[in-house]
Amino acid sequence: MVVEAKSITVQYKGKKYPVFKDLDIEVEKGAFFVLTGESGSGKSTLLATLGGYLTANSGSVLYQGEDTKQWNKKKWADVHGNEISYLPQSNLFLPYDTVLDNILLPYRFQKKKDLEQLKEQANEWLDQFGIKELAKYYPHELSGGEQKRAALVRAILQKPKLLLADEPTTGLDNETGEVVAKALKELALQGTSIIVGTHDACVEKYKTDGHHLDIIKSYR
Amino acid sequence: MWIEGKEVWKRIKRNHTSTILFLLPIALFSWLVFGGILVDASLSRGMKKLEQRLGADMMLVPQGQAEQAEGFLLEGARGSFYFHQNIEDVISKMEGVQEVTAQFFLKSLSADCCTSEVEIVFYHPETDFLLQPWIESQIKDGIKENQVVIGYAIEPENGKLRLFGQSYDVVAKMAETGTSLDKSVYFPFSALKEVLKTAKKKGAFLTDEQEKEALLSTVYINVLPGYDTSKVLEQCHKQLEEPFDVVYPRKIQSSMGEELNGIYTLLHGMIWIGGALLTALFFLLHMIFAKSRMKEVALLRIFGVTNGSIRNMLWTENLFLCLIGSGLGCLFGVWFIYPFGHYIGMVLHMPYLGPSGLEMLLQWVYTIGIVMAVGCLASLYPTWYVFGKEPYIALRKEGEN
Ligand SMILES: Nc1ncnc2c1ncn2[C@@H]1O[C@H](COP(=O)(O)OP(=O)(O)OP(=O)(O)O)[C@@H](O)[C@H]1O
Ligand SMILES: [Mg+2]
Repeated sequence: MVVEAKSITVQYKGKKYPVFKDLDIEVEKGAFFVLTGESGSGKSTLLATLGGYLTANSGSVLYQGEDTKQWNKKKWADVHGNEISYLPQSNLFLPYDTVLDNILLPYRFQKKKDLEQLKEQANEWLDQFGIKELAKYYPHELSGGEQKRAALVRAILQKPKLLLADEPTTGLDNETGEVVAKALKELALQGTSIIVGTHDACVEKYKTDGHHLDIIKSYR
Repeated sequence: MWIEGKEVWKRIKRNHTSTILFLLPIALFSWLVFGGILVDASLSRGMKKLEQRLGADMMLVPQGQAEQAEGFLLEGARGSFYFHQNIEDVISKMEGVQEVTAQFFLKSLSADCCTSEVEIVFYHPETDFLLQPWIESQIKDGIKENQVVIGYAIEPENGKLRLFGQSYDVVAKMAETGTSLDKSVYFPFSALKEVLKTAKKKGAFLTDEQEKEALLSTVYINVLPGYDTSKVLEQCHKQLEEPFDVVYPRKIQSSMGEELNGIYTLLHGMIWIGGALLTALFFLLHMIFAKSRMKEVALLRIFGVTNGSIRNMLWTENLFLCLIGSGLGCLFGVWFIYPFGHYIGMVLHMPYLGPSGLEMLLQWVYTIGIVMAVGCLASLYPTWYVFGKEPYIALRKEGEN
């Protein structure tokens, strides 16, 4: 398993009910896992919890068999910098950096990475997603879908072991959505475990022999 | 670190409003601290010079003249009293005496003989340690017999001063003292006989004493550091032929010092209150802007930038701002306070001596140090606050950035 959740419960402060309770989930290495569920069912919350960006109120999240509760901040930073990657649903970029600088953001703080090489790779990905010429612009100068694709480039640039993609194709036209979905599938074939959170409407695009979990809005 | 430096610079340039908002209190604070240090140092420098001028452990005057001498030290009005023994020589050989110098006073002479009513002092340029601090820098190769040093309030004509029908070259002017010393003329002792002669020729009234055996009016004595003044006094009592009284100039000075302390209290009070207000404002700004940094920091955390790096970045950013702000503030201080130093001294009725370039540089460094310290303290809050929520929650938080 690349990541598994054991009996996790997440309840936001000030909310009457938990988003989910005692949830179990196992994601195998190299899996292409799709999370579906209606709006507000907790897809984003689960992705964030699995990625360690949000701590469950109870239960535990295991990453490659290790209980992440035992990890300190340094270990988390290391894993987030090198192994687990994330495409947030919104608030993707720093407004005062260009798109390319935003894509390179995590790496600009890591001295060991070769920025020039990463820049080249980033441009290749941007080209593939059809937004190469937008690299030098600022995030607010891009459409929502363009921003999504650029943020996806940032997430997959480091060839993560685990990619958590929250609505990667939402807001894209069918054709571009296919391109993105295809790219994700290719990435999975190369060994990255992928968990995608998406609306029911988009699930068609990800048709794989992989796994699928439909979270049911159970507490409302 | 350099990579973060670049990041930091970007963030400073990012938001002009916040940058200016931050720079303003920092610059004002620096200006206040720097200006305060500048005025403070200048006043104490002025006071120090005054101490040097009045700075003698003991002043010997003929018996019965102590009161008059004290008055002179405070107000500058001189008496005419004289010793007939060269006590300067005698005292200079005594044990424990560090320095001794004599002066000869010629009480104000009637106005019709001179261009203006003045008081005349003869001094020993070689042994003097009281006047020198005020004039030394301005006299190049020692004062000659036909040359004078004039008090601050005396206006020379074309660099010359007419006295008893005679014209003397003015080689230097004393700094302002705020006493009647400002209306004094200083001759070297070597000119004593000649000046007395011309004065008499011009019909100036001289006392018998002034004409004949009088050698000097007073001597100022400094004893060696740590040496007991009373031991020197004992020797004086034994070795000096004429009866004398002792005045302790340093004690008289203390009244001046008290006045200065009052000014310091006011000045420091102003700096502390102003500084505290600006610091509070600075802290407040940090708190307000910490909120706007949360999302940005969340994004960095999500991508594995360590808390240490993030803190470092916020820290450096703040230091950059402090450096720029204090640079601006000090520059403004140099530009605004330095040229007006003289007026500050006049308004306060205190001797005021501006610092040299090097001293000012040191004061600037000192100011930057203080500003940095305050800046670091103020940025403690944001560097703690931005980590207060989990990255996912922080990223989703509403608000700009
Ligand atoms: N920061 C928060 N504070 C309080 N409640 C929250 C917070 N974030 C999400 N929720 C609540 O948790 C539940 C799950 O939200 P979540 O965003 O995970 O749903 P989702 O399945 O991703 O929805 P969508 O498809 O609209 O993105 C919702 O009921 C939402 O109101
Ligand atoms: Mg969501």
